[in-house]
Amino acid sequence: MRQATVSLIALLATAAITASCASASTLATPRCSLQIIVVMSPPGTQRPAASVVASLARSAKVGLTFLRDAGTGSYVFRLQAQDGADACQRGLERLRTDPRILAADIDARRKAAGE
Amino acid sequence: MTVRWRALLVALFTLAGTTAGAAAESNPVARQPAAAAEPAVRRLLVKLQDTGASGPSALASRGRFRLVESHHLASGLHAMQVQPENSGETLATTLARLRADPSVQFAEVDERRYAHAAPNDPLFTGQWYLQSAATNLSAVDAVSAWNTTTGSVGLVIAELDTGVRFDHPDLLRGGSSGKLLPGYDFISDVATANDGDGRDADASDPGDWVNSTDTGTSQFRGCTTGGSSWHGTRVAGILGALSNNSAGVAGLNWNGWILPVRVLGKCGGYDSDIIAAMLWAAGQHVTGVPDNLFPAKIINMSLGAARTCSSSYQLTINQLAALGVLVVVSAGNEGGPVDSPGNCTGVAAVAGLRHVGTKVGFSSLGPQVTVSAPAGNCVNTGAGQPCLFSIDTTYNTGSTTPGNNGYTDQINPNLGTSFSAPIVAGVAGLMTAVNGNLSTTQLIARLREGANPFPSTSPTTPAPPVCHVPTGSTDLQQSECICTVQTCGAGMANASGAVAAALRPIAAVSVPASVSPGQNVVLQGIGSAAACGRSVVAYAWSIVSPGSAPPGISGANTSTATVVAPATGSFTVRLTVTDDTGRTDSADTVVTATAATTAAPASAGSNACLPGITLTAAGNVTVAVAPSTANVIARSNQTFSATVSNTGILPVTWQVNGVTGGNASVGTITTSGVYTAPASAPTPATVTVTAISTALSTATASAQVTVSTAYPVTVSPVSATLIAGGSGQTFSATVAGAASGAVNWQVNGITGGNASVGVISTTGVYSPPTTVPANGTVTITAVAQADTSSSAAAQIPIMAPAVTVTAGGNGGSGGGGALDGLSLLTLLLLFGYACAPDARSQPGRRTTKNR
Repeated sequence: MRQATVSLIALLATAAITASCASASTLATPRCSLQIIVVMSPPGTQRPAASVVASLARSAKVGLTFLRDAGTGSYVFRLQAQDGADACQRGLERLRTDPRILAADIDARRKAAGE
Repeated sequence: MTVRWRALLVALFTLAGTTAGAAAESNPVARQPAAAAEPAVRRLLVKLQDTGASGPSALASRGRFRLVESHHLASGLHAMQVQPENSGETLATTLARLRADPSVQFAEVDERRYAHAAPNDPLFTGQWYLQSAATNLSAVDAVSAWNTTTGSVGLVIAELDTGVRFDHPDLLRGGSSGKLLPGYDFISDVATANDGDGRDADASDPGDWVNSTDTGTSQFRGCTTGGSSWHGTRVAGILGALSNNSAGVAGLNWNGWILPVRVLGKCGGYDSDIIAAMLWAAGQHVTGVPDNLFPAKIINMSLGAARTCSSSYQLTINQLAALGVLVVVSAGNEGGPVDSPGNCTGVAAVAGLRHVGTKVGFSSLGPQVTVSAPAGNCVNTGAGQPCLFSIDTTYNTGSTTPGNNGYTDQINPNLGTSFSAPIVAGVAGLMTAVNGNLSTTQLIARLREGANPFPSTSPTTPAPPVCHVPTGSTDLQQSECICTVQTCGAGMANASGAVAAALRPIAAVSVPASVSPGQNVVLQGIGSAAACGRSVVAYAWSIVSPGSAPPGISGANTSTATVVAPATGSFTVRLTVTDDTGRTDSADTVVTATAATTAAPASAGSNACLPGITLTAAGNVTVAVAPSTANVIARSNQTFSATVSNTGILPVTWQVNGVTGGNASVGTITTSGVYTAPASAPTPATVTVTAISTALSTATASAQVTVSTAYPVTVSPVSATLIAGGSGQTFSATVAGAASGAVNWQVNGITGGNASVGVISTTGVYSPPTTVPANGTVTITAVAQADTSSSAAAQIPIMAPAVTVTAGGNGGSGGGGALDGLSLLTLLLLFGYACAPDARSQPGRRTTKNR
């Protein structure tokens, strides 16, 4: 009886956790993703704290993940959004209007201008 | 740290005797002899305002000169030999007195000139682009410029590119009589970097080939397949190959240093790395990267993409301009609008020319272009025929990984605005060498000033059209066209003209912070400065607007002028400074009732002659490696660090048993010092890891590494007492350092055991036998699947059961069931724990978008 009870608990737990994971995974799947360069205001601002990044992300309605420093005051982030393919671009535009940010640009690929 | 090193380097400059720059300066190129004492009779060129107003004789009489000889050259220009009555008068004073005469438009020394000597580099004959514009219209007259300067040992030009081949004999490291500073590799993405890691201190070019396997990956989808470009090595040769060394090609800067900064790898590179590299090259701190000990005055960027100038680039370029760092960028090869960052404000953007001075078809163009320079063009060729106007330079022959070093030529041609940019960057280097005070704005203005005008025709039949400003990204002009100042910049870059422009002094004006109507306004010109080795000898203030009833100037011929601010309106005061060779510069100041404003700097600076840079401290470079000893398991890693002292060149080369980078037998080591032991212990088992200074190859340090094959295996629990026929025991095992932690389980040496000694499952669940085995103990052994010689064991006594209770067995099972159930729950919770972060980690996954 005790064994049966424990097994039932385990099965219920399995079901609950599995359902929870599936839901979280689906919600967390971004529809678009951009690597961006953010120059903080004023120039030379130290790497923003997690709370600041979270606040910037909320304001821009995007996900922001710090990747690395690009230079003093400029940082590389992963910007993600879930509202559609062009949501990242709209989010980037919103970031650019944030007074804490001097510039926010797509981290684009450049090529040599040789032969 | 940086300041200390800089101070050390500057101090060492005077001690240096073996730097590349110093060696290059002793090259036996024909030079004018050292200045002799001023002769009593001065040879002058004097242009009179009006040939009918006053002749040389009258001028000599007024000026108290004895006219030894004079002959009219043209349009009021006279070649005169004069001897001042005051025999002790200096040439500068003589010139100043002549220039003060109202009939004199200008007066200059009739200097002796010497035949120009081309460098003795054997391939220089093919470097048409550096030679006289009289032969090929777009050539930059470097030979003429070299008669004035071949660069400066204080000059650093950064090259943001694919890295360089440090072993190219016409480049070489600065510590080995070469031109290359250590630089840095700024490529963050490992696959793009193609050197096994992200950012590191090794700026060498490992190759940037892209094959079909690469383009099949999301990382490089859409990239063009091709062999390695050795692009950075090509650019470096143009900027400053070792010159007049009887080998290879000549570079624009015979003296000076090239700072290779790697930002391009497979399929290019990313803005974030390029921007970080720009800041670092200019001496700014970048987190996670050692500061650059050799800040550049000029940055060459032969790269771009068809985009608008991003704010990130513009802010960075503005920051660099404030530091006095000029950024030179190629226009691009699409025949369309200028690429970014060449289209950013404040850069010197360079478009490409054919040998006859027309725009080469592939060059992009537009109003952002500063000047144009040769980009290479192939004419009179068919299949297999030579490309007559290649930009010959250094390169490497390897199709993928590095091969032999060599040179581009008409058979292996070199084309692109990538190579126009370093021509101009090199010219800017020569300009900086003669006048290190020039700001980026002044450098750009004087590059333009020194340029030759574009031809209005082309020998091509039918005649090519006139270039037009692109209307958009699809408006391409991919064939030859006639350049205009709206499309190709101010003209064809000319080294001789640019250096001449750079030699002019810089007029500086300091204005008062506030101005009141009718009050004195004091304007200071004392901050003006002459070029390296020159001095400002005269100041002249004048009113240039309004032309009628100009206000008076007090101190019009001194460094400080005073004017009275108007009650209303404004006037413009011009300061003209003259140096001891007669070269001039002017700056205007607008004075209103309430302000005095000028675009001129308050101070022109005090570094006209760049302080020299040297790299080694008399050979006492030392290296230390940590740790000095290590025990490493086969296939596992050990990170070593090297500390280099007494040199600004910090990178080291790593060897294992004398093999650079090691090999599969003795283990490998990365450029950043990460040693990976071989798959099995070598013979002997101890190997030597050595760090060799790239500044001085005799400066080394080593560590001893003992490699053991076995993986450490642990078994848990190591002891337990079980009942024959009773409950089982679950064992776990770990295998350190192995790619796989899997083990095979044995009981008394029998894989899986048997009924006599008990059985053990593949997951380590041991069930004791129903009777006590022979010696009352069994040995449970975990054998690593990765290496069957690696194992661990536990000794397990098997006790006879004191009481046999089947229900107890059920109870035991029940207990076991409860444990199993709890274990399951734990696992599920762990799964949940692992699952949620996994879901949360989705935003951090890498993406290939925009690549």
